[in-house]
Amino acid sequence: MSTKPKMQDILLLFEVLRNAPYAPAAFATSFGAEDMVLTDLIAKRAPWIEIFTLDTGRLPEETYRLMQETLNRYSLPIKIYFPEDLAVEHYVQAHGPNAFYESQALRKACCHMRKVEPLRRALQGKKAWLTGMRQAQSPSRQGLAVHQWDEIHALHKFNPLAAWHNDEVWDYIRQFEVPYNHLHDQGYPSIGCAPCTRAISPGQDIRAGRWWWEGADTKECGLHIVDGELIRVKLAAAPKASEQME
Amino acid sequence: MFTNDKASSDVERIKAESCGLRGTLRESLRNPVTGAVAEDDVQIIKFHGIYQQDYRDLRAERHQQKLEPLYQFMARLRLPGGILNGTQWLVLSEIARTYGNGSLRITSRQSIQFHGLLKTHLRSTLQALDKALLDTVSACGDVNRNVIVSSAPQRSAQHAEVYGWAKGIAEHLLPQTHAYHEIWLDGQRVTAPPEEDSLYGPTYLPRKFKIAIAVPPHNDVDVFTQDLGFIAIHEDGRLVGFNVCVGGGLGRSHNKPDTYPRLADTCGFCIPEQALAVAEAVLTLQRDHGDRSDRSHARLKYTVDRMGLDFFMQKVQQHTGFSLSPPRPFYFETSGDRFGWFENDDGTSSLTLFIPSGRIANIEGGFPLLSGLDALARLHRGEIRLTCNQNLLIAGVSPAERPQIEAVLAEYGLDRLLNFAPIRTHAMACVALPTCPLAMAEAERYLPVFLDHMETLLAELGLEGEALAVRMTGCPNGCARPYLAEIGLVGKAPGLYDLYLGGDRAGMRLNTLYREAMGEEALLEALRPLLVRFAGHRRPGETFGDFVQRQDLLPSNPSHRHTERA
Repeated sequence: MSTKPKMQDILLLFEVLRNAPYAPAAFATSFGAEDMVLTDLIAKRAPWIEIFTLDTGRLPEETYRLMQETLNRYSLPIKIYFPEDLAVEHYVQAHGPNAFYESQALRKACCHMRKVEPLRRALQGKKAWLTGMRQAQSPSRQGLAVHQWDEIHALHKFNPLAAWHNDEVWDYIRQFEVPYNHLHDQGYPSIGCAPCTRAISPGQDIRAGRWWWEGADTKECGLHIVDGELIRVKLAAAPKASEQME
Repeated sequence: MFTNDKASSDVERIKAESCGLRGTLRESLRNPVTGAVAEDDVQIIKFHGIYQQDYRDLRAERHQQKLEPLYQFMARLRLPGGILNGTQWLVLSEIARTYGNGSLRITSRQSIQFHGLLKTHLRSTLQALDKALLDTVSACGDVNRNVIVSSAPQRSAQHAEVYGWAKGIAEHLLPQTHAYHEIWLDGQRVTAPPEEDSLYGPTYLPRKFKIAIAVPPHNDVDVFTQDLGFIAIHEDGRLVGFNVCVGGGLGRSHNKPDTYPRLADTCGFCIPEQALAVAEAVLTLQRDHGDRSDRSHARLKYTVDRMGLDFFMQKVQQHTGFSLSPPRPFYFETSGDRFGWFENDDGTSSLTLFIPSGRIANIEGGFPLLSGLDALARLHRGEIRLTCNQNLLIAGVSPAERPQIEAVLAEYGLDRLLNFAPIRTHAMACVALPTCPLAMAEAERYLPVFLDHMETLLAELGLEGEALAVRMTGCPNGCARPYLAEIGLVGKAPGLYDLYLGGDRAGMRLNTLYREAMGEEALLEALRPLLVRFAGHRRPGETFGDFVQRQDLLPSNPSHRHTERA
């Protein structure tokens, strides 16, 4: 399958993002396969897009290895954001190091302090952000558009690979010898924190290995989904907005 | 109940049967026999930002040749706040040259229209726009239209914050159907239609719905002409909230005295986080209580007058679950644009360029605006902003970039646009003939001729420096907001205009019908003695609109609502 026409669209998108009102734009990578495709494209064609990642402190060793490999390969500055130390200390002392297995509330609180809050800091002063999300990744991402308005952060949000198929991602990685996370070779299509990600069996949903002990409808950490709805889906009456962000 | 049990208009049926705004558009686009779309689809395609029109200058000739009218389409962008960048501009310009009539038209709602598109080029046009992150969703039709925002050129941070709220409102009030995507872009059905639209329901709104945010002292958005207006209130430089204005709208119909322009009432104040809920409540009430039997009587202004403003606002507060506090004081200086270069508060500068009637083309003997703006777009790194007065801003120019921009202006002779007489730069005309199907008289094509005469007259009276606001439309629907002008000309028939006088320059007061159905000579004859008197008896700084009001030179006209605001 040729990735050519879609590639042109992405390059035009990057050109558009070069200027106001979308600049400065930042790309949030978690070093997944899609993220590596975008990193490669940005490094080669769109250096005006800043790249950042959220180091939750609990990532798998393979992800750190890939992080280092990416820095070596592209000599790109990648901004690395950490959780607030006090929040983590407080959580771990109150609930223990692995409390996320105990309840969904504790799991979400963990996601919040390790990802959602650092993301908010990372996006400050930005006009747009990019992600590697694809429609085919999960049923909740089926209607995913390339261009969204992120109501929570009041920013434009772009998912350049929204319509890409899994094969296209891997064709690109092979064709351009892009580094990738070797956990992908071991049955991990979607990789988050080490304690919350496991391998899946062939035929399972791509995100089935994330928070696998929870129900099938909660496979989001809160970066892209609020209360079970993609952010682009309507925000309820304004007074509720602050509750939703919690 | 306030809903009428009169028969619903035919458009209501078409909406209800449209299957989430799909209609038979796919079939219409495939039909090679005609350049038009099916009759019902003419209504549906509006919701996709497209009007079917025909080239009216050729109507008679083609009729004689037994040809169908030269059907062509106008497509209008949805562009909250009127903001684009150079890369996007070049895409627009390319579309205009490839598929359109070689021109772009800035609209009075901070958008861009393409004219002269053929049916066979619509899909390519919308696909090209999509790739540049642009779309035409809901730019027309019975939904919330383009949300407009004061271009407030000098205050970058404040503008960015207000723009964020406007963008949020715009996205929140989009219809939920995937029809646009399906019909124009990838052709695939994402879900089984029709999707339920929890906000709009199956028949959308009774009529269009317009929202603006004004940033005082600029009222370039003409906030009181909107169904729902927000006036940004800044205290100590910080956005504390918005005054909420409800029930404005300008459209009226000739010979229908129960249709009238109305200025919005300022009903209260909300904090920024409440604006979305207020917008949703007002829109929902209009959805449920607006008149669906008569489209000329369907805008929110009539709903508000029928229900009573106080009762309507009670309903709004019931819907939102919070009450509005009393409106905060504000002051509007002008509804016009300031032209030329200005320093911004962030160290950049902005250039507001006068674009005659918002038309961007390479007209022979005129300005090579299309090529010139292409050249600017190629080098400019900041925003390009459109204003509600149909002009254009090159915003956020860095000190290093400025000499380059000035060089391009000089190269294309566009620097001369900064030297026009104020009566020209403050005038506005709608599109009218030959493309607008509603036009009864010329507007965009005739305005320059009328202004030639006015310029001579003003020079004769020593008034050449006056920024007199003249606005001309080809029909009474009011696209160029003529009912707020100091001199408003509303087309009635070819060459004949109703003359309205006495608006102010900040968009706070409606004008009054002065004389009906006048030709050029009669118009100038009627204006001359008034201007002579103005030149001799005005108070220092007094505008023509204020002068005719103070001197009581206008008839009292009960059919035209005249609302004065302090």
